[in-house]
Amino acid sequence: MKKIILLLTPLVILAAVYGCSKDHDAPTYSTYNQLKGPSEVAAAYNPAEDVVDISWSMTDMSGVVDFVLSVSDSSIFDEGDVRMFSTNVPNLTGPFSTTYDVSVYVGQDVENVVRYFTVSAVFKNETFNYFTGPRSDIVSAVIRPTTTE
Amino acid sequence: MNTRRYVTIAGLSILLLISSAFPALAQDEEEFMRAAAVSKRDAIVLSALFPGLGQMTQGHKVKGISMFIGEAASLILFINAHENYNTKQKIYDRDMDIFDSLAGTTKTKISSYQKTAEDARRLYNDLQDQNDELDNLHTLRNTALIVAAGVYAYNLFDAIFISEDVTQSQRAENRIKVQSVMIDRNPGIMLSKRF
Repeated sequence: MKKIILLLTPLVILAAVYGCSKDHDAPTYSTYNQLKGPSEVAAAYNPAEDVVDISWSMTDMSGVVDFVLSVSDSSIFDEGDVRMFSTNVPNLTGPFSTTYDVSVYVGQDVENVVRYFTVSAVFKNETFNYFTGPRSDIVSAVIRPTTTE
Repeated sequence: MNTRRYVTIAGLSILLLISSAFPALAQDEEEFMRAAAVSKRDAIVLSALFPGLGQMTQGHKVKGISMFIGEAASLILFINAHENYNTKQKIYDRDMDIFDSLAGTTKTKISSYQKTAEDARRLYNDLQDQNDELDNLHTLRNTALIVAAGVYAYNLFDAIFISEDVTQSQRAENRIKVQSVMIDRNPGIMLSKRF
């Protein structure tokens, strides 16, 4: 009796500990780390056409099928009203540029407002299916600036 | 007047009955304690069923209650942490699936607006927090399990090797004892038995 209990006790304890083994792994970000964002982004208000011209470059175009323009009305980008636009660039050889129609998206009579712009590449390959990659640096443009003398 | 007399007699009778019942009650309790003391073999079986039970029936109340409470608290903590772990792991697995499939499931181009690197980063940070929480719960449940196992093992060891057999010690006490004594400055032998 004593021997049976002494023999079984460690076995039961080991089985219980084994049954509670850790069965979750830490997440890894390696899949998304390989993605690159556009660089040399520039935004300038064009008063003649009442648009903001945005241009950028992209060094590594592997897997890139399009670009997404994100616009915010806050300097803390994600805290503002963020809108995303597919740029539908005509060719993927560059240089890349698009326009932001002020009269449509900002309003007719609005003056001296700032909008913040960033561009991301859209990837399509074996790993990604129309996945929007990391953002470029955020640039700003003053829309319809009032001239001061 | 007669009524008062009857009430006094009845009250005194009740007091007499109660006072005579006290020694009988005390005797019953002692009898109960003797009857409750089980053999060492049964105490080991009881200890194997749940820590502390064997010790309590052997008369080691403080030790038995301590083991009982220690084991019960460890098991409650373990079960709680284990259930929490399982629940949180289901949520973690679900979010992990979303995170892993974020890159490649959406068929349409428009939906890619909801599948961005920022979303992936946000979900990744959330998953890391969840992973830390799961690690803590895993440590807690394993610690509680090891403590419960330790109390259980010590309880068995104590029941088998340390705690003395009360029934045997009672039997030893009830045996006829032979003692050397001095009676009127003369050496003698005294036989004694406890009833």
